[in-house]
Amino acid sequence: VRPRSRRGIGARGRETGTALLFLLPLFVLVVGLIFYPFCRALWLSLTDKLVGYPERFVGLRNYAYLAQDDAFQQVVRNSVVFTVASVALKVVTGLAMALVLNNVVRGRNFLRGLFLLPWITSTVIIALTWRWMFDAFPGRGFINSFLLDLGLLSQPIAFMATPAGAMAAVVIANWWRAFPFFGVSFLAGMVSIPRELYEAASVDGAGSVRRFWHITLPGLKHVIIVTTLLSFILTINDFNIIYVMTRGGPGTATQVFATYSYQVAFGQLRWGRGVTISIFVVPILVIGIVLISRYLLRDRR
Amino acid sequence: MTRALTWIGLVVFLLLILVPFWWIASMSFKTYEQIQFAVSIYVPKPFTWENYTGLWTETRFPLWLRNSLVTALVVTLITSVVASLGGYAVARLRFPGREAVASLILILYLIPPALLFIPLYRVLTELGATNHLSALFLSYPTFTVPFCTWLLIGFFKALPEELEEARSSTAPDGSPPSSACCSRSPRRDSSPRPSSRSRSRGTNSSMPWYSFRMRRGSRCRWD
Repeated sequence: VRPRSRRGIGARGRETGTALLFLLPLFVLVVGLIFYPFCRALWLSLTDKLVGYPERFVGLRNYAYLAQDDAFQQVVRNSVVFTVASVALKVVTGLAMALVLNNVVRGRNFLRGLFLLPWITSTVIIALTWRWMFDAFPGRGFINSFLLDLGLLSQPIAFMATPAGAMAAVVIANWWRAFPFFGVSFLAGMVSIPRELYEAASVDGAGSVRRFWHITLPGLKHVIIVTTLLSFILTINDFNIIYVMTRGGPGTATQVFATYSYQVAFGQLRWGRGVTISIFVVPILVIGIVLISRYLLRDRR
Repeated sequence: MTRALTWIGLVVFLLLILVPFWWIASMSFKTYEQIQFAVSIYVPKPFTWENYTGLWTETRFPLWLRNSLVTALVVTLITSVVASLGGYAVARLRFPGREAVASLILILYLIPPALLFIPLYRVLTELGATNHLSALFLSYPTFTVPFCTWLLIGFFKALPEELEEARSSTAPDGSPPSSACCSRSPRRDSSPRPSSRSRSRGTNSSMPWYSFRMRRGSRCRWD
């Protein structure tokens, strides 16, 4: 085996050439399908583009309009509630799932695979499933029929018809889909914590609760941060679950950035304003990305 | 104590995950009347296949299935070629700006589709690709490619470099790395030797991203 450093300058140059060749398809695809549309989005947000009319440059008028728009402020609040609630639930449930699976000796791999079913199932199907689970009609809504049969309810609740109920329903659907991903990530983190630490702590007389607080949680800190940040970005941009379950309704009670942007752009045909809504997410995105790359890229080296 | 808690937790999680699946599956075996009149809510009785046969014969489901399969195949093909070439270059080849490309790929993965769908729709209209499956062939790679490239960087970095070096040095003149990339097909389990670049350093928090390749990879097919 020859060490790499002994290769000459020529080989180094050839390697750069090969790299450029290999990166070319990626470059073409990224520029054509991501970078160029993104620049178009930035331009559109500065115009009053309505479908069927030529666009006119209006400067920052779209941004100014949205900043004082009541519906948009509701959208911002909804997005924050939706994202924070569902990510917080995912972290807690994910930790519980990892702790349970970590204690299972036989069949752990099988269970891990089984628990990942929600994550690998199509999002649209999961959204439909949960729309039915929460349905007010007992023949379709599992939750209502179950609570009625237990005698906890005297008549069915129309969850999806109330603002709070609809928000709870979309949060639960989003949480249910993604918590197995948290659980499996945390489990992998737990497995990599050295066993000796636990043994030493037991010898010193630490109980299982203290071992969890002082060994497991600090050991998982890194995984928890990265998983949470990634999930935060993916959740705040979620479209499928809300669009399929509520279309942002009732009223604008569950309207979030992505669904509102879609509604304004394709429902009201105001493309300029629709694009501006999704551009409002970019600062949040940038903060998230900077934090993630600090953690993730540091590992890669 | 821990044992009991584990068992309780296991049962709770199993119910939590399986009940919605079972609910939607049992619905598919019920008749319309059975759902409408809330008869035998928890078990499909009478049990019927009519929803399945009806879907197949009375709707254009076969066409939709074909569309899905064609789209999945084409997008997978595009993604595998582009992502494996790019991932290999970033993981293994030395060139100026390598780290920048790696960060860029992560950033691209995190760009929300919601930001792209309006302008991308315009671009596709201008290309005349709307109302055709090719619109999907062009839009799905916007998220499958960055994601799969990111995964493959991790995968290539985890492969012991010696495998590749051995291959190059047996070639007549230490052939360029491209031949090593294209011609070898190493099995991971046949190469347990640690290498300087493999990820075996202490507690490694990026491990989850790597070890659940299969599961996260499913985004490439479904989302």
